[in-house]
Amino acid sequence: MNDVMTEGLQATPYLVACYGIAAALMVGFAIWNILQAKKLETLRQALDYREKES
Amino acid sequence: MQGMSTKTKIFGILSFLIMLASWYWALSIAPSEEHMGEVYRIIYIHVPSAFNAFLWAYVLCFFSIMVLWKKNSQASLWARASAEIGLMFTVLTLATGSIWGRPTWGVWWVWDARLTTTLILALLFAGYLILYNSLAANAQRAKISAVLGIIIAADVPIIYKSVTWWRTLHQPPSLMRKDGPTMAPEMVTTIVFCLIGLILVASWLLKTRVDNLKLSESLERQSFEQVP
Repeated sequence: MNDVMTEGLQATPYLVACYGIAAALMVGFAIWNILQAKKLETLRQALDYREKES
Repeated sequence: MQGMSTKTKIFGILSFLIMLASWYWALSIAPSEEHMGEVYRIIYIHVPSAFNAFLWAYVLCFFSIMVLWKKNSQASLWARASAEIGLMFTVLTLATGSIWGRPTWGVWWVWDARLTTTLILALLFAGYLILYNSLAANAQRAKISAVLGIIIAADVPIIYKSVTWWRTLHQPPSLMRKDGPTMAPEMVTTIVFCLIGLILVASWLLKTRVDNLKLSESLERQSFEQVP
């Protein structure tokens, strides 16, 4: 039982690193996309407004 | 998430939930390996990432063919987004492979055929994106980058066959074999579950990225038209 726990603890940093990098890449890409979509939408509204004004 | 349709939002949330469920399965329910122990669970993220890297290289090739054959300008945006996602998964494959190498082989990196050809794939994806971004937005850019997009796909079979063509530290194929997988069925199921989760998230990322690229392109045109 103790051997299993020690072995599990030894593997933890490697598993955290792998799944952590994967999560960071996916979530990072998603947040970047969402923020860019918001920025582009604001820009679109500003251009539409300028078009109407002129 | 302003600017995103409700369907896209729901698809995104569901994709991430499925991916998280597959990771929970991989880390706590799926079996570990008898000799390697718990560290074997790296396989459940490493193998699906590698499959995704290959998949997006082929998707990039498909859209590149569409650019050259059908002269479809929208396909160029899909190709660019595929290259970005392909690069992300290739980097993830290299990172998880390197982390796997330390406890199992005793080294972070070795200039082995499988690892080197995968690094070449990452460099090709990066090269594609540098080339795409450095050229002016016109039909010429679409054509030139499409040629590179098709060449990138040629590296995939080389990566896959590298473990049989050359003597490598990387283990030979254990999933896609003529005589069936050498893994336990529970492990194969977990890999497939994780693969589906990653493909769904990647598809959502592709869709949102292409929507942004389309909007960005139309805004660029609109702002030029408004210049007095």
